[in-house]
Amino acid sequence: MDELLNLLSEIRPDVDFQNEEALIDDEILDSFDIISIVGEINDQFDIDINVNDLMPENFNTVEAMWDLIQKLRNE
Amino acid sequence: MTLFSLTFFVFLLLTILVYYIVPKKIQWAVLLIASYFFYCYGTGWKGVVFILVTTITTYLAARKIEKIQLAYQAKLDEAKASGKKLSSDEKNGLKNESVKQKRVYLIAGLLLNFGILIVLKYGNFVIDNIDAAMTAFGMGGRIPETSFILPLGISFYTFITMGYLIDIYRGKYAADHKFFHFALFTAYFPQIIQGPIGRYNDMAKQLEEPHYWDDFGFRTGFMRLLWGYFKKMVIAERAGIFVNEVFSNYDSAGYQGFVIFIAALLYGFQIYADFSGGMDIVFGASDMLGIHLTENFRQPYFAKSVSEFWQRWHMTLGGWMKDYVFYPICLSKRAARAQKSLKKKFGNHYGRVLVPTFASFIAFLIVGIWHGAEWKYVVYGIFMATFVSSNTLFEQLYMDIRTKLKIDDKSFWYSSFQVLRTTMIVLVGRFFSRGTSAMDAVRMIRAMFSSFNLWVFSDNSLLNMGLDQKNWNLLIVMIVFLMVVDYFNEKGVVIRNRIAGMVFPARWIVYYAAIFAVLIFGIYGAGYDASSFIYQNF
Repeated sequence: MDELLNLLSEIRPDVDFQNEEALIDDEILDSFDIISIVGEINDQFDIDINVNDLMPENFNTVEAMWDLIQKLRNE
Repeated sequence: MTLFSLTFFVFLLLTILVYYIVPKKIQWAVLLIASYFFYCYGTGWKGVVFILVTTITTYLAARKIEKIQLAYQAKLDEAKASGKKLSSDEKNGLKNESVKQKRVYLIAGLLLNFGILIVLKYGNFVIDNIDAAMTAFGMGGRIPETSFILPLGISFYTFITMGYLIDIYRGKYAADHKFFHFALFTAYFPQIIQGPIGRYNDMAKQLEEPHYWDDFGFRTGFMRLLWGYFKKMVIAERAGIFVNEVFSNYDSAGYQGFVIFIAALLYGFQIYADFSGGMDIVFGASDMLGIHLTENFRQPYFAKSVSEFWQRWHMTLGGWMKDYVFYPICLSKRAARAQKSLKKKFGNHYGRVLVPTFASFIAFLIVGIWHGAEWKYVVYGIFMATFVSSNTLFEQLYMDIRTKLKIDDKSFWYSSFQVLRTTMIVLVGRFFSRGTSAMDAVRMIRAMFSSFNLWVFSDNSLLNMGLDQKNWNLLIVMIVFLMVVDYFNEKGVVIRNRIAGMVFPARWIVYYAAIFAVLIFGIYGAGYDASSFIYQNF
């Protein structure tokens, strides 16, 4: 999880990822951020997040992203 | 049936009346019949064939895709139940096979339906350009243009249905199993003329479920309808008189400098009042039926950057492009490979943003061409994409400049500067969407910068271009009023809800004031026919 937090704050240092609960719904992250985040996560965790996984509920919080990573790792 | 005709009013009132009288179970059928009646009336019987083809093929392709997905799932479940453990190779094999089969139906659906749209909307554009190219190479011979009919709302319903088909392919939700319900989703009359480009998961349930008469909802819907007419008839049509004069005759009349600047600025308000006014009318009509469409505007002239502008303007088209063009390009395997090598070459920041920059160019190019089959729209798309992506591309550079100049980017003045800058960029971009051609747009921009003729504001020359002093005053006051309402909306105050909550006599005073404002200050007469919407033609 720390690994993910580091990765996120490297892309958007201005966002408090630990406490935000609606990163997508509140438009804190834009589509360019999402693409950067997905690219980095795919590289770092060796998984394949594809366009079908791009739902707001998967990216609204760090926990949701972490759950998605775990799910894809187990597939 | 234009939205301003008496026919439309009668149609809407009758539909609402029948809709709330019939048993709740068949309310959706009333909407389906009303929608097809509206469609036939607007586009003729021939046009109906096209929407029917799209409805039937999308419905069948989605069902087939779902069936393949279920069969794949059943095979997995069967293996699990029989205690047989599938190897990951076997699992992948099954998955790939099902994806391959699903893709056949997806591609067939997309090719057929976008094919129809492209042939009808862009056929002559392609023919003309091939012909021009052949002539340039001395192969001569004019290929004759063909006369296609352009069915009402074809760009909108094609995007709506293809979004649904891709969602089914992605397994986002279950396919619709009731054909006539799906037909209503495709042809729902408030949405068909000029959008919004609604999504199935937002709309389908609302269209199907029973709706009870809701006094408050009806009132806010009615108020929104009136507000839409006000924007369209009082602001857009009035601004259009001056805008049309300048854009059509700038060359022969020799308009320059501020005359062109004012025309471009007013065009920004005209198209906003026109498009968002049209939205308010259809949202209001739909609200009165208890069905809430997806918002398409969010105070675009308060945007601080061009990319933010596009998150506030025609939002459902932007959302469509993001989900079905931008993300698929960015997340493709090829993009991932490209990103890796770009990062090595250009470092982390640029490596990361170059692929999305490319994807946003493609998306905006499509947005541009979506407006029509002309080169000027291609330029328009590229122009907008350049500013949208430069934001991200040069983010670091901009930040460094701000730090050096000691600019506080949270201050009121800097925010105001940002809003003004965005408005100016959008204003220049609009020359391409409104100008007669791309070359004309360039000539107009040149003419705008060729003279600093401040005197046009005092020598009465602006009064000789269609609007007299009284109309100018009214237009300016109304535009300020529009911006004030937007300001309240931006602050989260929805004025029509306040009005709908007022006591009976006060409420009716507002209704009457609004109705009379539209009737008295609206532009009719010779321009009556002109009150079709700008976006209706896209």
